[in-house]
Amino acid sequence: MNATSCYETLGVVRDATPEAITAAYQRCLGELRASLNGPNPPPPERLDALRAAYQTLGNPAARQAHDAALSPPTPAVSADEGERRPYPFAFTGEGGEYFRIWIVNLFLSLITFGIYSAWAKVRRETFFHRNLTLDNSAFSYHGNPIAILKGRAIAVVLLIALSAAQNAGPFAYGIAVLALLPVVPWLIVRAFRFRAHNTSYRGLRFSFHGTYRQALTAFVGYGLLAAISFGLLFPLFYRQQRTFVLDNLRYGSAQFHCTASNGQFYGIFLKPIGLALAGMFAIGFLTAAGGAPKLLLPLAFGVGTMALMLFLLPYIRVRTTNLVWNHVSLERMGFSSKLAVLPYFGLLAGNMVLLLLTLGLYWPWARVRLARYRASCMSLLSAEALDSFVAGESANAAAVGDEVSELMDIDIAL
Amino acid sequence: MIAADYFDGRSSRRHPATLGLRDGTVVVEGDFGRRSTALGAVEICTGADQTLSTIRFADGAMCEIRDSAAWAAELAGAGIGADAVAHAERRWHWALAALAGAVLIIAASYAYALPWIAGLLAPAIPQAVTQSISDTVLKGLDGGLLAPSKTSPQRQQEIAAKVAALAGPGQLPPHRLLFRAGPTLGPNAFALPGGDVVVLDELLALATRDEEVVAVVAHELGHLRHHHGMRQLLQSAVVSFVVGVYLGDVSTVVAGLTALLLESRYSREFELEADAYAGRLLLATPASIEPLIDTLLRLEQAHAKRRAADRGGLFGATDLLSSHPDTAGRVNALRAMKR
Repeated sequence: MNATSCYETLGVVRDATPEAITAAYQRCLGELRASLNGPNPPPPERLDALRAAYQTLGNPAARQAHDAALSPPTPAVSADEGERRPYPFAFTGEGGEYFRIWIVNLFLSLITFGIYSAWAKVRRETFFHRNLTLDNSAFSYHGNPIAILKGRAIAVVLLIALSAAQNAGPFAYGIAVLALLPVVPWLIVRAFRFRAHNTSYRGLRFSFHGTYRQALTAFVGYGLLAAISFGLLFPLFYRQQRTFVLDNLRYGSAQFHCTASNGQFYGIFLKPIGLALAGMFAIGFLTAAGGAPKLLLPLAFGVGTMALMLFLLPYIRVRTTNLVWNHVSLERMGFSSKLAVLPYFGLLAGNMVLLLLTLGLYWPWARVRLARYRASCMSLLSAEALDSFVAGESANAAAVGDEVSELMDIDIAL
Repeated sequence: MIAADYFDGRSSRRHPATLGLRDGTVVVEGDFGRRSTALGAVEICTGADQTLSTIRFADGAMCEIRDSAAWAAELAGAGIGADAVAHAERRWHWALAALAGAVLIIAASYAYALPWIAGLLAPAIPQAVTQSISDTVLKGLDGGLLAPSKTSPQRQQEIAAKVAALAGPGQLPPHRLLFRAGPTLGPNAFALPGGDVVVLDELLALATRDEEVVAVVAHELGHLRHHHGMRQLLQSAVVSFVVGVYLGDVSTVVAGLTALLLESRYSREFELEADAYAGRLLLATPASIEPLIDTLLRLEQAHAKRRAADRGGLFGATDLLSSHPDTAGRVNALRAMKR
C-alpha cells in the first residue's frame, strides 16, 4: 500500500468527482513543469507518483480497491454528530455605511445615464459579501463590471422587445412569451453560475454545475405541473427549485447536498392553507346562519388578503429557509438555520413603516437589518476546523442570466 | 509588519502570516515560506472601519488583514490611497451631497430633460403611427362616451370653412374636424394626435356664435401644431414607468395617483401653449381673442355646474378629460397677448 494516498498526492478530497480529479492532475502537472526551471526542482519520482495516482483514481475499479485499502472515508455518523460545533455566520455591515455606498453610486449611475450602475452593483455586492463573516474570514465578490454591463445591455434589449410585443397585442405577446420560455432555464443556469463563480471564501470559489435540462425540469416542468394541479403540487415545485440550486452548488471541490423531503415541504404549506380554509369556512357558516352583520364578509375578505400578503409569504420564507438549510450537508459538515417567524415579521413590518416615513431613503438600513438578522440565525456545523476544502476546476461565467433575472425580479436568492 | 491570514487559493487552510510593504513589493511570510510580489500585480481591496481588507494574487492566493486601519496607513506610506468613489463612500458630507445631487438630477429630468426629449421625438413619429393611435382612441370613445352627432352636415361644413379661413392654405397643421355628441362629457372639444379634432354637440349648444366654436378649434389646432398628444404620451409613459419602479412595491394605486399628479403639470403647460397659438391666429380675425376668452369663462361655469350636479364623480371621466384648470390664469395670459 502507498505511504500517501492517491488523493493526497493529487490534493483532492476522498469523494472528488472524476472532473475534479482530472483538473487537479492537470494543475499538479502544470506546477511541476513550472518548478522544473526553478531553484529547487522536484525529484523525478514526483511525476511518476502523479501519473500513478491519476491512473488509479481515473479507473473506477482501481479507485474502489484503493479506497478499500485506505481507512474508511468517514467516521461513524453518530460519533461525528456529537462532536460537531457551530461556527456562526455574522453580518458586520452598518446601515449608515451602506447608505453612503448606495447614494454615492446612485448619483454616479444617474449622471452616467445608468452606465455606472454595473460598477455600482459590484460595490454593492462587495459590501454584502465582505461583511458576511464565518470563522473570522469574510466572503468576497469577484463580479467583473464590464461583464455585468454587457449582461445589463442584453437584459434591457430583451425587456424592451417583450414590452413592445405586449403593446403590439395579446397574440404577439403570447408568441414572445412562448419564444422566451425555453430561454428562461438557460438564463437561470447562467445566473446561478455567475453568482456562484464570483463568490469566494478563504480564497476558494463557489461554482454551480446545474444543467439546462435540470433547470427546464425544475422551473418549467414542475411550474406547469403546479399550475395545472391548481397549486396542489406547488410545494413540490418549490422544493425542486431549492434542491436544484443546492445540489448543484460546490464550494471548491466540495458538494452541497440538500435532503429535505417533499413531505416536509408539504408540512410547511399545509398549516397556513388549512388556517385560511378554516377561517373562510367559519365566516361562511356565520353568514349562512344569519348571525353575522352583512359587512363582515367583505371586511374578513380584505383582512384575509392583507394577512396573506404580509404574513404568509414571510412565514413560508422563514420556514422553508430553516428546513432547507437544516438539511444541507457539505462534505461532513452541516448547517443550522434558526430564523423565527415573529421576529422576522416584526423586522419586515418595521422596515416597511420606516420606508414609508422616509420616502424610501431608509432602504439601505432595511437591507442591512435583514442581512444581519439572517446571518445571525445561521451557523455551519463542523467537527473539524474549516481547513480541509480544496479548490475545484475553474470556469468563467457571463453575466447575462444574472442581469435578466435581476431586471425581471426573479427571486433566486438562496 | 502587519498580522494577516494567508490562503494559498488551493485549499481553505489558514496560514498565519505577516505582511509588509518594501520598495513597491508586497512581502508575505509564514509557515508556507516567503512570497514577494510587485504591488502592481496584486489586487488591493481595503475595507472600511471594521471590515476586513484583502490583497489578492494573480494565482488566486489571498491575504485577509484584520487591522484595516494599520494596513491603510502602510499603503498610504507607499502612496496608495482609496479611490475617489471609495473615499466619497466613507464620508457623510459626500453622501449627503450625492443625495442632493440625485434629487436635483431627478427633478431636472422631470422638469426639463424629459419635456425637451419628448419635444424632439414627438414630431419625428411617423404619421401612420399617430393615426393608428388616434383611430384606436376614437374607436374606444365611439363605443362608450361618444354618440353620433345631431349637427347637420351643412352646419358642420360652415364651421369647417370658418376654421380653414383662420390662416392661409397650408399654414394650419393638417387636421380633420369630426362632430360627435358627448352627453356625459359636456361642452368640450379635443384633438387626437393623428390630427382628428373632435367637436361635441354640447359645445355648439353652449356657444352663442360660431366664432366661439372656431376659437376652441383654434386652441385644439395649437395642441396639434405642438404635437402635444404624442409628447404627453411619451412623457407619461416614462413618468409612470419610473414611478412604478419606485413605488411599485408600495401599491399600484398609490403609484398610479402619483404618476397622474406628476403628469398634470405637463398638461397645464400644454394648455397655455395651445392658448398662445390660438391667440396668435385669432388676433388676426375681426372678433379677435374675445370669443376664446368668453368660451373659456362659460366652459368653466358649465363644468362647475356639472360638478355640483354629480358629486362623488371626483375621479370620473368628466374631470379626467377636462383637464383645464386655472381658467383665470389662462384668461389673463390671453388678455396680455392683446396688449
